[in-house]
Amino acid sequence: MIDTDMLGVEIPHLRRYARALMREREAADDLVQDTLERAWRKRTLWRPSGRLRSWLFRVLYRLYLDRRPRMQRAHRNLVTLDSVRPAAALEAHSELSLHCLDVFAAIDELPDRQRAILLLMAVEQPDYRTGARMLGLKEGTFRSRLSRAREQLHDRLASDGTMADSPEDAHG
Amino acid sequence: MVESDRPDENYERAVAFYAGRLGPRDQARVRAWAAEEPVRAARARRDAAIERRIAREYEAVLREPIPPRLLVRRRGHRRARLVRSGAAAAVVLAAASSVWWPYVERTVSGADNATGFESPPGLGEPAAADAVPVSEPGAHRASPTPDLSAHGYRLIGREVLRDTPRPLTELTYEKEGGPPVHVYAQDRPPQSTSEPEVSMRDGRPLARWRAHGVNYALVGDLPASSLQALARSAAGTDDQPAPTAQPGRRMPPANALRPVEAPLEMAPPARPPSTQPQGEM
Repeated sequence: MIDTDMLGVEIPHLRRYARALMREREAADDLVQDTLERAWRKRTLWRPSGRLRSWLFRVLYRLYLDRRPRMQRAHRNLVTLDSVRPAAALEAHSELSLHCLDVFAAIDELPDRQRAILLLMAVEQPDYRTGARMLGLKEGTFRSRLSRAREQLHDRLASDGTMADSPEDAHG
Repeated sequence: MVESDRPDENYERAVAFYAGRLGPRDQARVRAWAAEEPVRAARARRDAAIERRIAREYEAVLREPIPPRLLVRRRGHRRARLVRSGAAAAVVLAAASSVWWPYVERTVSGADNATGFESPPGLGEPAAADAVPVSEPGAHRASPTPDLSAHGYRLIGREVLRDTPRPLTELTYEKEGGPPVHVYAQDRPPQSTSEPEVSMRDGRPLARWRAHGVNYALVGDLPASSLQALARSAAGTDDQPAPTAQPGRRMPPANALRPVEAPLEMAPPARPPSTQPQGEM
């Protein structure tokens, strides 16, 4: 049986992934709150043999896909504080920051399912099997979508001229 | 590429290698592949760099304080702990009134008695999902609900702990500026009545009485004298009339309760109250 201590341990990880998906603090925390509420209501469905984090991420991913179309409509008219970067930071590392903004802009243009996988791999760094479980996908589907996400991201950045190696890429 | 296509395993392995996720065993294979496929290796390196960049961007979120709205009430936590505690139910199985009290103590003992709220996760009102309405079909008959409003306490929660052989109702009361108190009620025929008695258990006062065939226990982080006064009020044996709600009747809303006229002497809470430093789970 899930208890609140167990859920509490996972909140920072849920928030991080939600922040990557939503790009705004409030929207991300809304998503996490909805995830926790749904997880609590359905807690009897979780089996201790599975990883709780995977189950929670699956719930979060489903909710994200459900609400994403509404968000996209709202985004057309809104610029949130979280998306505005301090000018000083931009000036300090202008080239790198600009490159970074371009990368995130390109990621935002990916289809939701591909974007979710790419971000999951980046922030949680699961192996493919675990990653697939976290999103409720078959491993083959997960890998295939990840591959396509990378492909599309590369194409977008290349077309923007952003794909040139940045200084940190060289450390590979 | 269609969704069923197999992605390039060498390429995946190379990205994992450059992202630092690959074990030492496969690293030699990646180096060999990179020597044969320098263009694709460079691309794998860039993909890994993007992953690292994303990870860095959101790394700080892990250390951010957790917003209060993602924190939950303690009652759900207590019940979950109770569920884990098979020993508690075993004590109740004995069924004699003399062993009911240890059960209550066990239920409310430890660190989870006093402050009412704690940090864990985010179910705005998880206890509501956990609580079993006493009017629910099949639920046991509701024990009469003591009214502590004369002392400024309002009922904020009622939960039937059904994972016990004989349902035990936990009533949680709260008053502004003081720690919450809990009344535990369990039907125990035959009808009889006894005045509240306060005893010390493990250094903590516990008041118990019996009314209408129900055993009651009152616990809270209060001095024994205050607890006794509260128990006498709850049992209706003090000077003031202490109405007792009938089973199935809703308690009046909080704002309909009388204000505190003579506040009880409060003991300092055993722990800092609820709104703990966020993120400490």
